[in-house]
Amino acid sequence: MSERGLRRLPPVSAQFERCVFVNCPFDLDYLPLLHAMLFAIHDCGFISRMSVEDSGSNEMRIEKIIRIIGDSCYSIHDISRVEVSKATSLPRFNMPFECGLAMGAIRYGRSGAGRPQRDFLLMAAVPFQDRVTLSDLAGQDPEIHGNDPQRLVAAVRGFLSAKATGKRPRGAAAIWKRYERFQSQLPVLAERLEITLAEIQSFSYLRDWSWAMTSWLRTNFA
Amino acid sequence: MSKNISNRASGAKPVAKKATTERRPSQPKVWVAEVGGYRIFGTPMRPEHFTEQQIEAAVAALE
Repeated sequence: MSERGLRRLPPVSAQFERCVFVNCPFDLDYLPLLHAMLFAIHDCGFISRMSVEDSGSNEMRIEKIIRIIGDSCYSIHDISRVEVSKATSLPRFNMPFECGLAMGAIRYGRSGAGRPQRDFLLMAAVPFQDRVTLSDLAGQDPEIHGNDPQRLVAAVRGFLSAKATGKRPRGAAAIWKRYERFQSQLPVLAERLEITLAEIQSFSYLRDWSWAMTSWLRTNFA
Repeated sequence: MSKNISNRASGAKPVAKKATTERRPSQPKVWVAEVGGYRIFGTPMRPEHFTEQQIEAAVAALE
């Protein structure tokens, strides 16, 4: 890449203090919240890390999750979808499980000399949800987003602004305004790529969306 | 352990354990850019349906 001010970095695992592990539902209903979260993480100057980031590898899923949590100084856990599935009548335990892994890294892992302390953000859709589904975390006071992407962006920004080194991130309202601008340009972007808006906003295109989002942030800094 | 003892007792030469190296999956790389005083990092996710260049070009062509 020859663009001015742009440089390639060593493998992402070397960016420990910039990596944020995202532990959230990967379902269609949650996608608008996930998009907003990823945008906010990168606009705040951090790197989002997810278990779905390299689907092609033959690494076992649990090994991948453990590796990414180990590589990430920070993590965001949204336990808003710990509920009984209509199809199976069973709850999904992946999110509380991964939250536990991240808490184990905080409690027993070492960040290393000169490295910042690991930390995590807990989020829920409605107040007191965590007290029912994850009562061991009583006293953690999760951020409540109410399934509103704008509130979620504010929560993410609030968490990461305290972790930022150098220039602090923009305010939550400014990040949201930029996100809305990016969203408004998605139809044109999709047209240029000869796909539909629904396609680029789908899970199938999450990697392409993410690449477009970070490229957009790089070229739209005002 | 018991296998080793029996090997030695039978006079068999201990078999050196083959060194194994744990293969860490290749780590994705990201870019970083300084823009307007802010630092923006790329994503470790690689596009799936398009090339990076196609997406960069489409983004660059936006107003």
